[in-house]
Formats: sequence, structure tokens, C-alpha cells
Amino acid sequence: MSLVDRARSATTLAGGLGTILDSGLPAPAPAGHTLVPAGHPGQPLAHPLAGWEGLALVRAERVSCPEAVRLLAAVRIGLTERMLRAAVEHLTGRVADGRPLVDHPVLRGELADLTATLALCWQGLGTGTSTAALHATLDRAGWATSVLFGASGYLRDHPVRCLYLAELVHDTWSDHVGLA
Amino acid sequence: MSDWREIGRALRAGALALDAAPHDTEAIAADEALRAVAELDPIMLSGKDSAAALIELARGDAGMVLAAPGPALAGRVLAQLGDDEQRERLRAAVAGGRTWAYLAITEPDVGSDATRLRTELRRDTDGRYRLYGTKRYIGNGHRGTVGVVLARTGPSPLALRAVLLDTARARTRPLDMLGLRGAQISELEFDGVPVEERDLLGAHLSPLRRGMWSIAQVFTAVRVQVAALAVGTAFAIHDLVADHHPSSPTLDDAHANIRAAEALVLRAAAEADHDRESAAPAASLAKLTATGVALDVARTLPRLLGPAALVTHPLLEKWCRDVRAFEFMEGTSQIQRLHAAQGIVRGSVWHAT
Repeated sequence: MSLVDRARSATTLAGGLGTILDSGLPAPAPAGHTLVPAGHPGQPLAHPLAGWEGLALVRAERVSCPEAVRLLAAVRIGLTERMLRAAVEHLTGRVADGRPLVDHPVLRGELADLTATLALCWQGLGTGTSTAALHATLDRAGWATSVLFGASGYLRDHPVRCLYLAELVHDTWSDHVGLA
Repeated sequence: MSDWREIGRALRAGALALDAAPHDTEAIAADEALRAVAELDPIMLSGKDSAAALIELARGDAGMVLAAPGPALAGRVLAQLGDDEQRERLRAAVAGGRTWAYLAITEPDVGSDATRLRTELRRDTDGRYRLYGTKRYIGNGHRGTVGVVLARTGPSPLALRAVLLDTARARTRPLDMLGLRGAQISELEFDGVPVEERDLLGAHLSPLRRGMWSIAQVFTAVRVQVAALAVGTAFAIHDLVADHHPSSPTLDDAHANIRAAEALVLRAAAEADHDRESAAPAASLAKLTATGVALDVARTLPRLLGPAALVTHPLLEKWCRDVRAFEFMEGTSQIQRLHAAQGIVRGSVWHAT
């Protein structure tokens, strides 16, 4: 299995980051600090959310690593696909207007759009879609997936929180600056 | 409005501490800016004035605004459905920042779909009403001692009443949310909580207007206020980024979009003040657009500050979590789309003239 395939098949955010960093790539830290799996070398800094997903914020030498940021997109694709499958189960179990939510056309359309978006991102990893564009798309797809869980997806202990933490990892890993 | 803006600015000082420890009621009680927010009396203000004030306050920090003791969104319901005695009871209960008021609509599994709410208001053999059921995702539900609860009075989807609870207590527990933690979103469980006749809101209205009709008006009023909080948070994000980044087309576009959303919110609020019944689609459009603009601002502007902006600026990161809460308050964007579409089909949505 290739590295990008292994990144996509990670079942946790920390596991996905571990797959990338265990390959020998440095943890990107363009601002001098970075979110990494807990236990990764580096001087730990306080962060209110990192521990939720087994991560730690550490001080690190300023370094960019575009390949690690590209592989992070693969991790995010895999986690979003996983959460999308969980969302289908959630929507199957909830009823509105006498039928499961998953049978409502609006939500079916959303599930199809999200699946298509993730498939396009996955292909884009191999065809040279810019990493910044991939992550911007994954930000939107991650939120759209979280919304499928309703307010329960906004609880701190809900597994879909990993998609928000993945956004924060991207924030510390990427040296891309938005259009100014 | 500059006063509200000043108070909003002062709110920022305590925002991160509150996010870390939303249960610290002593810290809340000691915060002068929060005491000033408690002066906001939605019962006395028009919906438009209340929305305008909330925008300025949330420009400071929406979590702090919602942590402020006071009538909050329950006040808007009382302004609409309460009689003079009930309004006075709410006002007296929260006077001087004594306590928080909650508005309990949403339930587990059914969200805020009013036609499927399960919480029941039953009349016992002794003639007294009792409240049974569970409400979930209720701001200030754990720390508040007064509030408005929406309950079913019969099997018909339209058989609903709102009740004011200021003495009887539910079993409550705070929920650990990702963001907007200052609101201390909670779960409330009612297991036969007694309700007096004088607690029923809308008794002075005609029977046709006490139930579902009045609840629909409540949603219209409250959705506009939630939209105002979203707009204020979008301004907050813009302001912080603008403080650290030179003027740019991205920033200017974002500011123009936030102002456009603000205009829609204030217009919907004014429409609801004039005729709440016909303003429902406008309120849904206002919430839909305000939430969307706020999310977009949260997604794009922090990147202007370069790598790790959300670590370097913890308030920015907090607001990026907070704006997501507005999606779930008083109906998701999908629900707002359905309401807005209904208005479009009926021809009752105003056009962009």
C-alpha cells in the first residue's frame, strides 16, 4: 500500500499524522510551532483542544514540507469519508415527516455531493490539484459533513470533531497565505 | 449604538477565560461588562433595536453576550406572548443580573421541529398542569432559574403552548460543546414539574393564536436575533484580522458582505416588528445568509494572517468554533431554506429591490 493510500486509510487523525511523520517527513512548522501526535519530539505548548484528538502543540524549527501537507489532505479525505458513513447511519436512525432523514431528497443530494467532492479531491491528489485548493475544499466538506449530525455533531465528545481538529493541523502545517 | 459597541469591546477581555471555564459563575458575576449586557432588555426594545444591539455586542464576543445574566431570547418571547404580569415576573427574576433566562425549544432527536416536539403539558386529575419531557441544547439551561418552555398540549401537531417557569425547576446538566461555550448549552429534564395557569403564555390571545401560530412568531423573532449574533461574530473576526493585516480586496469584500448580511438582518427585524406573521421567510433568509457569511468569513480571513494564525490568535480560533453554533440554533440552514422557499412560492419574500 502506498503512503498516500495508508494516509487515507488512517482511522484517527493522530494515526494519520503518525503515518506521515513515520515516513521520515518532518512535521511542517512554518510558524515555528506545529500540531503533531502526542509524544512527538518537541517542546510542548499549551493548546486547549489538541489533547481531544491525541495531539500536542509543540515548538519546532521553522520548516515547510509541501509533501506532508499534501499527505494531510489524504488523511482528511479518509476521515471525512469515515464520518460521512457514520452520518448515513445517524440519518437512517432519525425520522422526519414519517420517513428516515436519509430518505429525504435534500439530504440524499447532500450525501451525493459530498461523496463526489471527496472523490474529486482524491483524484486531484494524483493529478496536481493545488494543495491549498484541496484543503479549502476539505474545510467546506468537513463542515458540511459535521452538520449532517445536527447539534450532536457540535458536542465536544462527538467523533466528528476530528474534522475540525484536522483544520487546525492544516493551519499550523501550511505556509500558504490566503489571497490578500 | 456606540454604547453597545463599547460594551462589546469590553466583553473581549473575559472571552477566553469563559470559553475555558463556562461553569465559573463567580467569574461571570464579577465581570463588569457582563453586568452591562444585562441592561439589554429585549422586552422593552423593538426587535430591530434588539438585533442592532446584539450585533454590536457580539462584535465583542457572542459567547460572553450569551453568558450575561438577563432575559436573553426568553425576553423576546415574553415581549410577544406574555401578558404584563408575566413580563414583570421575568423582569423581576433577572433584575440586577440575579439569574439567567433560558428558552427551551429543541429536543433530542427532533431538533426544533415544533410539530414533532414531545415535551408534554398534561392536566392532572387535580386540575393542575404538569410538564414532562426533555429539552436539549438549551443555552443557560443549567445555570438559569427562569425560562420559557415549549410543550405539547395534545396529540395534534399544532397543539402547543409556551410556559413561563420561574419557580419550578427541571433536572439539568450542562453539555460540553465545541464552541459558544459561554452560553453553557444544557439539557433539561421535566418529570412532572408543576405549571400554574398563570404560567401559560398567550392566555390573553385568541385560542387560535395561542398555540402553533404564536410559536411560529416566536421562531421568526428569535431567528433574527440569532442571525444578529452571527453577523456580530463575523465583524469580530474581520476586525481582529484587519488589526493585523493591511487593507486588501479580500478584507474589503468580506467587510462588504458582512454589512450586506447586517442590512438583511435589520430589514428582517424591522419587518417582523411591523408584521411578524408575514416576516417568517425574511427571518429565515436573514439567518441563512448571516450564518453563511459568518462561516465564510471564519474560513477565509484567518488565512490572511499566515501560518498558524489560529494558534497565534486564540480568540480568532474561538470565534471560528463559535460561528458554527449559529447553524444549529432555532433551525438549521436546511430548515431555513425550506421556510424561505415556501415564502418564494407564495410570493411573500421581498425581492432585491
